[in-house]
Amino acid sequence: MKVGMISFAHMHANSYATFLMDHPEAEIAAIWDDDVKRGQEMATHFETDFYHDLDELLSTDIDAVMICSENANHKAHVLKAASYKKHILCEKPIATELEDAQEMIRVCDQQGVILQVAYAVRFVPAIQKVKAVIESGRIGDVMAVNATNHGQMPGGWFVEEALSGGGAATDHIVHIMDLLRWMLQDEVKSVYAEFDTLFYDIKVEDAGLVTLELESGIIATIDPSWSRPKTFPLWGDVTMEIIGTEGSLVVDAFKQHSVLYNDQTGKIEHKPWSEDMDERLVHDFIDCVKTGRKPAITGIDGLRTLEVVKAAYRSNELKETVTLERS
Amino acid sequence: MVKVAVVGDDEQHLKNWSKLQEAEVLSIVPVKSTTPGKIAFQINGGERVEDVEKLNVDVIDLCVPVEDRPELIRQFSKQGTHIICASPLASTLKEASSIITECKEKQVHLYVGNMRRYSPEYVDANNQIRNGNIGRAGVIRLSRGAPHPGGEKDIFSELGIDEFEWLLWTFGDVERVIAKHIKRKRRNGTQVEYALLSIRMIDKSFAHVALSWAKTENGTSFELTGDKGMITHNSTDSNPISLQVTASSQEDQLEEMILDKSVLQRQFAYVLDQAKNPNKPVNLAHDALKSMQLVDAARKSAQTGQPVSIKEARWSYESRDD
Repeated sequence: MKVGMISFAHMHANSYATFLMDHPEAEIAAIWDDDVKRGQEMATHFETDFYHDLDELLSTDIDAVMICSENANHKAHVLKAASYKKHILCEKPIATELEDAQEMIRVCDQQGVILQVAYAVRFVPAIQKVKAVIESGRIGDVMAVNATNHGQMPGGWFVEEALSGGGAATDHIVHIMDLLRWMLQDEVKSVYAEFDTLFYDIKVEDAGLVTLELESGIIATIDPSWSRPKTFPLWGDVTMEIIGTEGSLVVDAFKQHSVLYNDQTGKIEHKPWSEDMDERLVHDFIDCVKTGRKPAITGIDGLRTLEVVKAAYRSNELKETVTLERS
Repeated sequence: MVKVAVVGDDEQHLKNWSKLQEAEVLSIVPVKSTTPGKIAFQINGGERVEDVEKLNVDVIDLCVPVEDRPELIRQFSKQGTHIICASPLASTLKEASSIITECKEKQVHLYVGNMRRYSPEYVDANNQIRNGNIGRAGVIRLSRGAPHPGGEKDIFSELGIDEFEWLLWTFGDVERVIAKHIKRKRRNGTQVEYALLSIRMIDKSFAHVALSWAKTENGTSFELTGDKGMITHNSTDSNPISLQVTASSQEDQLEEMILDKSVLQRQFAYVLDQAKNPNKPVNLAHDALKSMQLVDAARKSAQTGQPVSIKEARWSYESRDD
């Protein structure tokens, strides 16, 4: 199966490309990037062809594309790829505006192509186990979730609102939100959120807290802050404390690591040894394209999570709890 | 010697006071007086004293239910007795505030017991924050969990108040709070309860507090982030001894914190030390009052679903303050 890579703006592209290379049934057939230098370097590194013209790349016999451009460019790239009837794995968040996400979903449907959103955390073995534990009823009915998706400040286009759509809230609410919807089969009823810029001299928010009530009455908070110091031994974290009527559990998604005390770099590092979530995401996408099955993570999942982010920003403006309106 | 009376039968408190060499400790229990409107006391389970004046103690440690606290504080403060009392001082903010004022007028020391202020890991974190180790505060995360105590208790005040007071002591005043609270019954009929608070501080930093009555054992944690670093602590991870005994029973459990001087003892030692300087006014009750305010605001927010500003909840005591 031939797959094209559209942009390496998001660092996940490197990881996806690596696992594509290793996939027994897939190959990276082509790379396009608006940053020609970066695209050519990647083409050399992954031993494939670089295309200056995206239409030319999409005119080839590739089956699918992986889109890792800046958030604000997802829409244009998804619409174009869909017009050439290529299946799509799109980096999260799906888009920066709700209308864009809706259009992307509609067009992909019309063209009959897969639109899968890269919510890789669903593929972390510990997270899948947690879902199974909840579904088994061992902790009873879930009442509350206290979750974090912290990160270090990524810099680059992530802190330019025109390209990213926003800061830490845009970057980090969606992963937890996707897990909540997926694990609990529930939707958000209301949101209260406040954000601010407290850690860095940047123009987007880097700190904040989100308070949610789900339709079923479950209460939850999400801390999406870029609050991990530069000395933190990993890029960030995904943690959830889940309270049930008959028990509770705490999951630290990336706890399966060794600790490297590295005198050569003067740093302490967490070296993950678990099964890689990006590898499992890439395999799942390839399998969807191959078998024609509906992806587990759809454009709708991308839209629903983005709706919560937008409601959170609105709440931050109003300093009031906002009731979700789903399209 | 400083004469200390533990009011109410509290074994833990008596044990910790008796470890202090400068304290002479009595156990007194309030009993019904023959004179209406008065309270009598039974001393060390024997002798009965009809009048507060005759007790002649320097410090009382009040271990009685909330509803009995205000009256006892009033009676003892009139005698010039210093008072340490569990939090909260009274059932309402208004009453707590008036007690504070009265103690100030009588020039007696009034301490509101707070485990966090004397727990070494929380004292250390407070010092580190004051030393600027994390720089400007960003997002502060606190959690406290315990098994459900049963009955109809208020999770915000019972479980949260010590955390709130430490937060206020360390990071200053609160701007507003949004709180969510959920309470359910287990299949076996016992209760399970949980609360989440997102707090905005006056200095613009955020605080997240998780209060759990869903645990099987006690535990606390904090994560304090700022623009220069982060301090973390988790009571489970910081236990230096891991004991596993086959056929484990309650007796095999180690105490929660491995310390030579317990947190209570540290708190009492401070009270004794201050009692030796009777002319120096000590009134540590204001932070406790602010914690009660935060509890009130959180409760209101949990009911309305909207954030509650602390300013709206401010009481007139502030104009009479200091």
